[in-house]
Amino acid sequence: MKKVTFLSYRFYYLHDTEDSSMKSKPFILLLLFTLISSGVWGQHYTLSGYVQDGSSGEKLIAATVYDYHSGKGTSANEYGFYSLTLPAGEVYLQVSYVGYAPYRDTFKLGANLNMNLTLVPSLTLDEVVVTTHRPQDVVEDVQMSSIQIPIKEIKSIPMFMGEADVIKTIQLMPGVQSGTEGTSGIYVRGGGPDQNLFLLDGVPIYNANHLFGFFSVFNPDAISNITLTKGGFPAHYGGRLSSVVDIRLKEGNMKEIHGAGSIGLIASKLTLEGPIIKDKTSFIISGRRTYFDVLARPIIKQINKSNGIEGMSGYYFYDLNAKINHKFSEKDRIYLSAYHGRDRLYIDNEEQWIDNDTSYQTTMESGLYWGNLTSALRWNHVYGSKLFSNVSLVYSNYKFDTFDETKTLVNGKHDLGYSYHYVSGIEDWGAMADYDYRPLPAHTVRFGGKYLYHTFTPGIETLESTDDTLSAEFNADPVYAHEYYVYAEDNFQLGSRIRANIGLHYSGFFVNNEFYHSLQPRFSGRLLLTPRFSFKAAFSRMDQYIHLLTNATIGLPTDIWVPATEKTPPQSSYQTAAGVAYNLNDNWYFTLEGFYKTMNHLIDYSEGSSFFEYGVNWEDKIERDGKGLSYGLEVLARRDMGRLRGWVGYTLSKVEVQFANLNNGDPYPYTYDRRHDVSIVLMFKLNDHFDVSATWVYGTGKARTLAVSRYAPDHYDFGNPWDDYNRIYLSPYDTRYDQEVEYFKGKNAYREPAYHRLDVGMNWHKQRDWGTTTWSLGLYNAYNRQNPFYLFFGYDNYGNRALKQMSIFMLIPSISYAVEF
Amino acid sequence: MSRKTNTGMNLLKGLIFFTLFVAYTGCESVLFIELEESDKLIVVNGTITNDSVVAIQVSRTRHILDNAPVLPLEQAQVRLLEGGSLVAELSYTGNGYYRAQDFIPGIGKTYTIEVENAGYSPVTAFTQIPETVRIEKLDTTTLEVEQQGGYDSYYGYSQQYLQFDLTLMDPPGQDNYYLLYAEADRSWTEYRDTTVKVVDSLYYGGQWNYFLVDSSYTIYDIHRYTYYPSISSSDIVVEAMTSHGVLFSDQLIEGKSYSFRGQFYYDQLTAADSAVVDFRLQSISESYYKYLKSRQSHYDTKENYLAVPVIVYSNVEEGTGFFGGYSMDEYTITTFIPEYYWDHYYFE
Repeated sequence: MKKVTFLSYRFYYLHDTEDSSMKSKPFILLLLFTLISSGVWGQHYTLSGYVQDGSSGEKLIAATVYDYHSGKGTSANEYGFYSLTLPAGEVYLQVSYVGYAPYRDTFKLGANLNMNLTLVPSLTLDEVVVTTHRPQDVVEDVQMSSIQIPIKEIKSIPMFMGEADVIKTIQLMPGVQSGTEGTSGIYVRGGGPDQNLFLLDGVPIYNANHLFGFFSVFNPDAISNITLTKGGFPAHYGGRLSSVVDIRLKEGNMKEIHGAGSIGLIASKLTLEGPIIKDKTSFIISGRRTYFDVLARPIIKQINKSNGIEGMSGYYFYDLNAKINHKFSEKDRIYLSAYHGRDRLYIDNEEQWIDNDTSYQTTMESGLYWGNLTSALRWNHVYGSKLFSNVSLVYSNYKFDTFDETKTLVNGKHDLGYSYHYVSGIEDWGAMADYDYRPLPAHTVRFGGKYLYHTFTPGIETLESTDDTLSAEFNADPVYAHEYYVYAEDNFQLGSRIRANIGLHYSGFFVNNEFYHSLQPRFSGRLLLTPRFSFKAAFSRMDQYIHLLTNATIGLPTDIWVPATEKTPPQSSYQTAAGVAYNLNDNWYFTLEGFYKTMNHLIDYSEGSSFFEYGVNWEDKIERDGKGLSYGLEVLARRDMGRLRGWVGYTLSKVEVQFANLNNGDPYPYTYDRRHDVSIVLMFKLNDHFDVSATWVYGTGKARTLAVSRYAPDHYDFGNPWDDYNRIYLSPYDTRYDQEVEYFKGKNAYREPAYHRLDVGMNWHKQRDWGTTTWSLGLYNAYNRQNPFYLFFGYDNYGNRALKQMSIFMLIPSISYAVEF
Repeated sequence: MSRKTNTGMNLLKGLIFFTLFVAYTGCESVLFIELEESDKLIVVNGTITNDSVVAIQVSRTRHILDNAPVLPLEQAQVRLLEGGSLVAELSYTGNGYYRAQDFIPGIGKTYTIEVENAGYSPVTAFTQIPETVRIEKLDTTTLEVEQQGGYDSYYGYSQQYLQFDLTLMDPPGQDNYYLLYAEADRSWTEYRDTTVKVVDSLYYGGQWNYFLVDSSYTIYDIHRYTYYPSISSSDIVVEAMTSHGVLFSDQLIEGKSYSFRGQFYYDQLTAADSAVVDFRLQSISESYYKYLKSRQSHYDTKENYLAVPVIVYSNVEEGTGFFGGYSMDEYTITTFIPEYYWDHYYFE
């Protein structure tokens, strides 16, 4: 085999630069040239296959495959598949993926070749490199407003109660706001919490929260890759206005059994993965459960007993991920994955008493539970060497149920009883097909479609008595809807400096004899100004056919998903973004992006309405046809290599909405408007055993509707002519307060105090014969900042009215212990 | 093996200790935070109509954290303009009211109120008096509803109420807003010693229940006064039940003849064997409608922290409150009151 000296990627740029003579030619000629060049000039063959981890068989998403001889390259798709068409003859191949030693090979290409490429983790880089993206990839990638979140970073960053959390890490990125203290909702570029599409192996997750939003449902131990897209949406994404969080589960180790587990303050986790048939079939199963209910059980029991009550109350959540991956042949693989998560809060009481020789026994059970169940059956097939397909059947179910049941026995016989249930949810059945066609190195064409059959149950209330004398049901009819989309996009290179992704996304929605549809153009473009500096621009239209009714900034399970209807049309948005990316020294990179987003047909609760109103249909308590405008600037400086890693993110933004019947029809700051938002994340590896980390966040106070004055209504009886020198103070019980009208400067016109917080953490790793152990210590809110959780009016100790702030989560230490084998 | 077990137990004990520690340190805390002094604003509240002198209440806002009562402004300059021309300077007459003694506004005209007071930004508000909408017809009937008794069915009783159907003709081609209320005579009785049978009342089972008892009282005097029976209605057009009356618009009845159905219980008329009831249909300006509707919703949800706060509508520029107009039509009936609801007595 001929020995090849591989050049650094500086040469790679030089190589590209030599081709740049084409830049002066007219655009159309460039396009034609690019389209036909490969097919016309000489014989070409295609190299294709999967790029995978040599130790586990795990697919390496976005790994780079590059031929130095021809200067052509490509990257693996989200299933690890690559296809590269090259001229016949000598090939100097390099396959690289950050954190792995590059694979290099030299050979003569004389026919189409199926070649699975295996990389091994780099011994020299080891733990230091954790990202899938090199700084140069960020500069060259056509996709802007997109961030990869490495799993190892998620585990290194100090977190609330020491529980590594995917969504809370995403909150630390520019353009992403967090909700209420400690919660895991995300608000992207001024969008609402319903405008984010969470995909777990391609299946939509409708409620990504555990414990009222304090934790997200995604268990990091089961995840291989996370991508957040905030703008410049490629055509294969659709259905939400503001972001897509694409989470891919691990596939399971094909070579040998491995596992990981941890014990923390809140929950314990265990993950096992390995081959069922070596190199052919693998599995991964990962579970997590909280145990505060178990620990607190004796205490609660004792308290109840002292109050003469038999019963138990508690809260727990659990989730379970499982996946089986089977390789039928080099061209066919099948995956079956499932997720199930459940939160349950329960209060059970039993009371017994005797009155006049009659015994009474009352049993009361109340509580709420909610959770998701999702599943995907996926088939990957390679047609020839250039066309890859992914066909899936998907299922997703989210259900929330709150209930209250009482039964009374008199002298052991049934006497009275009733039950109340409030149920809401959404269930999807669907099928999707995605095709990845790589006819030429300069083109990656994707096309496909998706169909979802939705069943909405937006707030069914049932009230029943046990003797059948009472049986009432409100909003009992589910709503059925059909949603589909088809798309096509081409990610192509024009010369050496320009790359673009142009696509179309066409979607439709049938509900109650109503049909909505839209054609959504998508564009992303990149111009290399210098080898290390690029300019990017993007435009996308997005349509969203489902709405979330929510009036809280915490992830309450009571939030209700509802479809677009005849009265309530789908939401839509247009987003334009432009920015630059700069690779400083192959360690640090910088991005600066501006965005301008308009939103239409937003909904919000009407004034005076509440999410929980007995017997009121949701459409009767909302305002519709709202307009929104969001614009801002995002800066990110990031380093993912070396002993010091981390990023600094800053967002300057403004978002306003306008509804005809709210705020006198004038625009007002959206609940998610935050003028300044800063995140600083630093991780420092002291040695092979210790690493420390810290995060600091700052955000402008949240916009709130708060009364600032009070005044008399019409026909008010002022009583005696009091004046400021003869003030008669009103007591808290003066009924005139009831008559007075509170004056608001406007909706969301008041700003809460700013939010800021420092978290610090430390990890101590120890290598054992059988694996690795890690002790993690953390301090959440290290300088004990009392951030506002909510504000309310009350009285001080002297009877004076006062505005009070409720704060939670001050200075919370955490500890956890993890093993990996 | 034993050592491993101890390590596990110690680890568990440590975690329990940490959990309790976290529960202790992570508890909630309440801070008092300052609220900036908002600008003091002039508050204008008032309606004008075609058959009364103008009376407008002028007061000022008070900081939300200030315990002092809200106060009227007694030294304000209040001017009323008709179609841009000054027609009256209003003078202070007490309890925040400014009146124009000799000016009666007219239907269909537009009015502007201007208020100035030293130390406050001057305010203006604009309104017009809509055309009167006539009550075409009014039918009444007496109906009875069974009330649930208490624990003892002996106290169960039926309650009678007056149901009315009020027909109006909504003017086509324009937005119309209505406020409907009733006015009736009512009396209360002073007694002196003698023996009469009186209707007494007892509150149980979540409601007032009435029954007859013998007692020793003598009528001393009967005081008559005006009372506004509380109308209830499940009519589809109703948008708010306010302290001023039933509020609705022509959104569903635009340009049509419509019969509005409402009712009130006879116990609100407790007079003698009959009562004179005036039904009053006010055709109100949009500003008055928006003010009443939002204010009612504001009252209804003021203490409900789960509800979206309601901002009360205001058309007063640089200030707050409202300035509205209305014209009114009346329909008077004399209704016979079931004996049970006569005043708190009847003579033997």
